[in-house]
Amino acid sequence: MSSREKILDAIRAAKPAGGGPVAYDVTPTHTGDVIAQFESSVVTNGGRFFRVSGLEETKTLIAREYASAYQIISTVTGIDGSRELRAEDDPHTLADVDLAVVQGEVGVAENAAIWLSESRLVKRVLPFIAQNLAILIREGDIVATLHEAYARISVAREGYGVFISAPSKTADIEQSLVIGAHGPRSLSVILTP
Amino acid sequence: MKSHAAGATQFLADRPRSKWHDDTLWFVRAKRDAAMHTVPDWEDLRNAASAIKDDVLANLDTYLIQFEQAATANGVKVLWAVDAEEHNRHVLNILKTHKVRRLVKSKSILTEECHLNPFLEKSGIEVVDTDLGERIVQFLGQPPSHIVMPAIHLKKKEIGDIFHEKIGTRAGEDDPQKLTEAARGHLRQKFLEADAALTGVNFAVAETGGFVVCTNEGNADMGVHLAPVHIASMGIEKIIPRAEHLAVFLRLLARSATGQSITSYTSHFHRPEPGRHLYIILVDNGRSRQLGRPDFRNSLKCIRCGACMNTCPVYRRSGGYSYGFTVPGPIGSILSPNLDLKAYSSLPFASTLCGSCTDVCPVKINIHEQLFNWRQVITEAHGQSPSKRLIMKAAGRLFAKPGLFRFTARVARTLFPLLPARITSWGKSRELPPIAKETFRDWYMKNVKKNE
Repeated sequence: MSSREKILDAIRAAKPAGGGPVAYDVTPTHTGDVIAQFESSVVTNGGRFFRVSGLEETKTLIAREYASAYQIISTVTGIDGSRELRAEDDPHTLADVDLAVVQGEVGVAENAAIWLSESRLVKRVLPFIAQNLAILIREGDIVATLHEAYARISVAREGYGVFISAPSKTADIEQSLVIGAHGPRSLSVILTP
Repeated sequence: MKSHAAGATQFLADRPRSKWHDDTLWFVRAKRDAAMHTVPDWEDLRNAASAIKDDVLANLDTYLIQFEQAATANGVKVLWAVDAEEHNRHVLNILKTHKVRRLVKSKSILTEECHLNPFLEKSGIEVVDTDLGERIVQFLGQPPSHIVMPAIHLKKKEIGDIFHEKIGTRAGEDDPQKLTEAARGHLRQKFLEADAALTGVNFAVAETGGFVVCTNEGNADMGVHLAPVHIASMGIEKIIPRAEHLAVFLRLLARSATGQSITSYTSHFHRPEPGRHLYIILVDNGRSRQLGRPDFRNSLKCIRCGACMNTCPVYRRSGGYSYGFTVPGPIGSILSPNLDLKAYSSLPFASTLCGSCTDVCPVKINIHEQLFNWRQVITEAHGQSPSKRLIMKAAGRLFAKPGLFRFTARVARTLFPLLPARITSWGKSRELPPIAKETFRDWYMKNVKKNE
């Protein structure tokens, strides 16, 4: 008998009676301004929050905030990086990226999590290997809680997707918070109309 | 196997450190409380999470098959492992197939449970734990002492010393920022050189065949997106029915663990990146046996947040190593007897049964009741120590005879204060409280009975 059958048989012999889909009720109670809450969550998590009027202001902002960034990759239409990124590139070639600029799809007010999917990232490693990360998110794409976020995204549509809510961080040495563990040392969240 | 009491005595020998450990974990517990209070529907979430897990346990076979079918259709290779040994063999076979020399790992308590690292190292594989806390304890040749904060028992000076020895930081450097920066450089090199990456699994979704990994450091993603092979090891109880359920569990997990609203990264894997390989190993290792124990099956609902450890008055004071099991603290003490009743027989007794673990558990596991239930099982199987048996027998006789009890109580009230407190283990580090002048019974007869 295969291990698969052994395990499944053991489960069948052991599992409790009953089952079937369970009824549960989670009605997220939320009041107030989701944008204000989103901003506050970004800052609490160690990110920086910017609100811009459009593409031109975004470009100016990036140029100003990341004046020393040399290797820039942008996967956002209308914002140019210093070089192109293609899906067939070896991810190791991204080791020298100073700044990645990507487009978020849904932002969650309660925790600042922003959904990024593979097609928008081009390479999965991009938002992790870059020294700094800037995520653009549209005002209309901010929702109150994770429940609404999962209702809007389809997790299996693409091979990979990620909620990013903060710069890379750790508190593994005496609980002292250090920003910039393995991934980006900074996160800018840019809210666009 | 060393008893919990012996391990605790060792940890408590360094009183200032034990106090610091206690305070640090209590601080994390306080952060959890603050985060919990920001969510008005917290109790609804706990109820929902527990109910979803009830469904999972009652239909585990169905959900695993559904998961396997969906994952396979997604191009993921699914393997099954009855026990730790088979899991380790699967991993080694995959590594051999892809000619892997260097493996990077992100946090996986399951691989600790399976003792994967020493097994792979014997076959000449370089295994690097990439979570900062795990890398620290790996350098020291220690297991993690906490499932969320693996190096919580160490002081920054000790970490500075081992970093100086292993990765060449300046002697005496103990600034967390500088040490983390040094580790970042060291581990980035390891990520770039790795031939394969292994992660744990926080949740696997039956309907979509995908799984979710949560980290703050981003180490899981750094590993798997660079290396061409990704192996995900998961306990079979990690399955949840639908993707929408992720919202319920993710809202609970980080808040319960560290007081964060969510981890920095919550990664959803469904298909390998084109041209790359993704494997999932489904591991039983005693879980189906635990499922068959009506009193204990709820322990399989655990999402490994560590809240029960942070709140436990015993864990906080005795440290993770006193338990001698991969998952220390209250939850580990109800999981471990399932694996080896004799070896872990002291763990369910390492509790005051105060119930704080049950109160903070995000999936509402009745942890303290299970601790109590394991005590019955263990006592029945292994008996009690002769001294405890004698005391219990004597107490039983005493309580059965009111006259004798009253007489003994009177004598004891006179004699007890004369005895040194150290006569019992409870008295070793405690002062005996002053004994009341009057027994409750005397007080009752005088004040209540006569007024009736």
